[in-house]
Amino acid sequence: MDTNKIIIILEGISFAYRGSSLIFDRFDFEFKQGDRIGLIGPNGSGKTTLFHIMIGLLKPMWGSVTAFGKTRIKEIDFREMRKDIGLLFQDADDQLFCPTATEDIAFGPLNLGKSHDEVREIVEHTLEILELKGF
Amino acid sequence: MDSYYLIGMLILKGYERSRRIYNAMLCRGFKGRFYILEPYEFNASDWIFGIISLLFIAGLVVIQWIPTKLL
Repeated sequence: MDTNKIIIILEGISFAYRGSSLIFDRFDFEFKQGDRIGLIGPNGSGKTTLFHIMIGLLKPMWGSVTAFGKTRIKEIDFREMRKDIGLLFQDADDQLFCPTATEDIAFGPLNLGKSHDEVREIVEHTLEILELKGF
Repeated sequence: MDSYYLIGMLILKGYERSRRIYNAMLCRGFKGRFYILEPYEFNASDWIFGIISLLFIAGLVVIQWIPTKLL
């Protein structure tokens, strides 16, 4: 098996929210490069929870998350991979928390430690792509 | 009675939203430090504002000391 092509591996994931029964019980999952996966399930079945476990917003009680060939356990491990994985929340409004679009776009690059000139370039470019320039 | 619900829901909804936004921030590499695109600097206008404010406060103190008979 070509492990390079597998981006995310979940192994034996078990998870429960506090005070409720297990949502995941030894759950295995593999996400390969080029995969397009649709996830269908009733409300409360754990679709969102699964994504949040994948990028480390929720930590599983058991099991391991491996992404880009590295097992991710602590917050620092996830922090490194989050810049390569995009997650769109259920309510996109939650992801736009800055007073202006410019600051919203700049938030990520600034956190990655890019210089102000670089950030300004990224912001300009992004606004152009989205046809938001001048707003 | 209804206002209790209102306040309760406000706190709850606010808390829930704060968690969602914090998650969104984590997804964008937040490490506990806020970086500002346009850094602030302490320049001449801040000095002027500071001095005027100090003079104003000093003035208030002086006025306080003047006996009320004279006013």
